[in-house]
Amino acid sequence: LGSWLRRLLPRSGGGAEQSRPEPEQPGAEVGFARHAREPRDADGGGGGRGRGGGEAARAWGARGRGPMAMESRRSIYDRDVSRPRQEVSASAFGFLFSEIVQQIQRQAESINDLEGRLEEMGFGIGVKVLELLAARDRRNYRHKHKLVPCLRFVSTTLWRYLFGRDADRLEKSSEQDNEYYIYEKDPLTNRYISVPRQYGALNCAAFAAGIVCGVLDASGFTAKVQAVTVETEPGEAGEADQTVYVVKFDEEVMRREAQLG
Amino acid sequence: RRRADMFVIVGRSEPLYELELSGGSGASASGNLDQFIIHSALDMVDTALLQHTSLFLRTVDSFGEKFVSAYVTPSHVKFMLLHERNKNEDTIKAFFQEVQELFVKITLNPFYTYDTAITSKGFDDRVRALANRYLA
Repeated sequence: LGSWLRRLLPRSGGGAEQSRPEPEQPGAEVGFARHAREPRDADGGGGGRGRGGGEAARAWGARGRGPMAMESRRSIYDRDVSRPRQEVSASAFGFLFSEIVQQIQRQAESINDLEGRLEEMGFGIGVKVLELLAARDRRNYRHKHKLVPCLRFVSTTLWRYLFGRDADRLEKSSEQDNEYYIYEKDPLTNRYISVPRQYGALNCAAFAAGIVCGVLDASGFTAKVQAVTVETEPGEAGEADQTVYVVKFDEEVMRREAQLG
Repeated sequence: RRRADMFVIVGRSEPLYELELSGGSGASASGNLDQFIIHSALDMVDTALLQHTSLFLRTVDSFGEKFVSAYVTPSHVKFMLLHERNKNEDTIKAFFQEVQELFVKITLNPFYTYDTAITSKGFDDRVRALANRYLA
């Protein structure tokens, strides 16, 4: 008998208590869990089988999901990519990021290593965010052939998505051909972080730098991105330290840029 | 008349996903040939990329009666479709766009490493369904 049919029939005979409580579970998991409680080969009678829901679920999983279970099981493919913008509380991010930094701090062997790991984390995010933002803006998104439009995309669209506002300034270095600067006065990553003196010039905006690096790299503009703390002059009262993201493009990128004219 | 389409997703260095859609009789005898055609069209995709900024690159190459259409995502993952002429370009574009949505969703999955082979059955099922809807 199909397990769903068995549910309709009164439980027959067998030992004292076959009473398996079926708690009401909200959400899409219902269908799946309920099927898990009734393994296909269960004998209605014969108590003492003592199969908990967990075991049954595992047995069910080993057999693969049946067609009934699939209907009620939502997968990642059913979620809508272009959902309206949702805001995340800054404190939620603050807590999460704080844990991230603490976790990395335990593993890292030096300040550079700490920043490096933060950047690495951001890198993966950058790749994903690029795909997401472009998919949401499918009609208008265009490939960027030259690096300035890409940087502009980063300092406006990407920044707005991540931090709710544009970056302060985008500048080209006057000394180095392949260097660009993105200025940010009060990076969200650093808002709840106070760096002790022995950590020197550690800047946790390395995380955001990693995101920028990921976006640039995925778009075809490989670069090194570093979050640098620019200390304010003593005497400029009330001004917090600024963060500058130094974007240094690879040779290959500059060569292609020169070719495109 | 046998109509064999093939859809391939190509990452930075290797194919990430392949789907053979043979209509009509039997397995495609030219299985390897299809892959070869798509592979050699990769250069044409790169050329087309330099000339256009849109994601949909339309037909980039042809081989006999077969045509290769391409669509490149922002992170330079290439969707390529081998097909015969009688396909409406808008239909192909719509197919690519729907696959792009699926691709974004799997990319966002923390358990999927970017630029690796796509083995999710859910993804495969849905791409097949899209192919049946748009390309059959």
